[in-house]
Amino acid sequence: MNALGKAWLGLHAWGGLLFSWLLVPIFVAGSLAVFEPEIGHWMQPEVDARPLLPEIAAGLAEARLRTVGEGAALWRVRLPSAREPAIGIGWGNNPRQLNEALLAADGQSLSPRATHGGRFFTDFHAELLLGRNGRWLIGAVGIVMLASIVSGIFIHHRILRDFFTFRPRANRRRAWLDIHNLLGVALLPFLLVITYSGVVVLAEAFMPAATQVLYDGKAGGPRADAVRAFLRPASGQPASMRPLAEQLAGAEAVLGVGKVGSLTVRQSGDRNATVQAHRSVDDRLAAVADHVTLDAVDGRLLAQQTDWNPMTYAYRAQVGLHVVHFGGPIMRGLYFVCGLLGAAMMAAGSVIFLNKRRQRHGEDLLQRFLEGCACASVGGILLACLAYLMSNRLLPAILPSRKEWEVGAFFLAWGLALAHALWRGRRAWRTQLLLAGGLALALPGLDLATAGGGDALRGAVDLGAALCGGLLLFAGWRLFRMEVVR
Amino acid sequence: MQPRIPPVFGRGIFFSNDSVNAFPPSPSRRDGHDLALRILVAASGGYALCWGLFVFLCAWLPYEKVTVWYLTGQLAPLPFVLVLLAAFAAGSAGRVAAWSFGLAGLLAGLGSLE
Repeated sequence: MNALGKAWLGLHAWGGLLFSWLLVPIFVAGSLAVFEPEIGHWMQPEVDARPLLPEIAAGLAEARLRTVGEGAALWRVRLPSAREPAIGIGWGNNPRQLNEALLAADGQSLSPRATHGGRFFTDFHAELLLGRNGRWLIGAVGIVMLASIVSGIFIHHRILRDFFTFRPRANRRRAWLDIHNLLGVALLPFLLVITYSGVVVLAEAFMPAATQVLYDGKAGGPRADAVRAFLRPASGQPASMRPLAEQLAGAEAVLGVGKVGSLTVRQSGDRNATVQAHRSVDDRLAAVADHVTLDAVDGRLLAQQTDWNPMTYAYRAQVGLHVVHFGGPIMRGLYFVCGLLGAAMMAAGSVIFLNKRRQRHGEDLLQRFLEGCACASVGGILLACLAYLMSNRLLPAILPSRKEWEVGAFFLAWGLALAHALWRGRRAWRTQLLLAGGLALALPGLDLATAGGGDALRGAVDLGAALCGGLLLFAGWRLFRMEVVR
Repeated sequence: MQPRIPPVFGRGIFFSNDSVNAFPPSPSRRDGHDLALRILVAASGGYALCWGLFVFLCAWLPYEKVTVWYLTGQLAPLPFVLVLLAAFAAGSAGRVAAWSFGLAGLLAGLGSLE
């Protein structure tokens, strides 16, 4: 090991262990958040997944909005897609507090069970449900992760040799190090990109210097400069609007057929009403939505933005690299697998540290505490995620504060897992991994039993849960036969 | 000449060239103070350096505001990681604090000249 590696060993080992208690849950939640719409659909089995043409969806949404959103300053329509098959509508006067509803393929409002859906995993991943404080915390964790990656390269300096080294049988003491190194080296580009881009996404929250200097602290200033919005006040003169389906065709002429993801109508019923169409971003790396604004009365093109400031585009490309809306299911699946393997890499690092510490200090109180927290950050978060998904099926569909009950199930399971890990010590690893594997395997059965036959999207989530369950059972059975965690 | 290994986690640490056996012992009370100081310097020095760098770039880069803002956003992790790594590699936390705060002050000062 070279001198820098020795100097950073403490940072890598202690920093890696302590911050892995948050990093592993963040990586697990982030991996699930990649499939936010699919999980959201799974958690609302009342929603039909029949495909619908965009122009028909726009017509159905308009008809519904004319009934429920009469007089509202703002209408919003999310057109159905392969990932979110229901039509989403919103209406109101405050863009941040719109009334929202989902529509079935016949245009009727759906009343699905209340849930945070897959959005919960995104919020947990991005801010630990703590708002601005959470973003600060995640930003700090991301910076330590970046430093751990760099220090890890210096500590495990035989990087190419390590990459081809995995000795699960030859020397069990080394097996965990081999797993840690193999995953760390194989995932190095992914880990660097995902961690760096994650900190970039959060930089605005914890480092407002540029906003202070350039925009006098106005947080919305940069976006207002980057996105050319076309807004005009209401004239007060009534006028009838062209059908939304025709407006959609006008927008598609600029943005591409089938590429419009959402429509926003401002001042509906007024002579100055406008329709703004946003392009979907699922076929491009940068998460920037080109948009056009049309006159809602005569369909005239008023404004468009299909070119972007290059630096804004580069920034949004980093956002796109992190949120992976591009690349289709294969790319999202790759992110999902890499995210979970990244969590496994950190878990293996924790096991290495704890085993070495046990050899030197024995089973003291601090060792028991460290073992418990490490186990709860891995097995506990898996159990918590499964409890969240299972509570969606086990709680009554109509229940006051239902969303909060689901979140409560998540934290209750995590708390119980921590208590169990503190009580049982390292023996809890095996129990919690096997239990998580069993629950994940049971998830498709629970889905079928409580919500009946599903569609392809729900089937894909069930299949993913079953695969993960099988792998967890294998990990619990195979890996923990190694004496290092017995 | 071998570079000096900073005594971050105690004197007389057993370091092996084999990363299987390398392990940092738990810090003693005295080392704990040094460790706390390094953590403090890493956090505050990184923040100060990032702030100073941003002020400097915002003042001197000859681009429109939005370009500079989105550029600085992409650079944000670098000063933090740099100072964090330096805080645990340098012989003393004071040296890193002097460098990071000094550089931050210099950059912010140059930025305020514009």
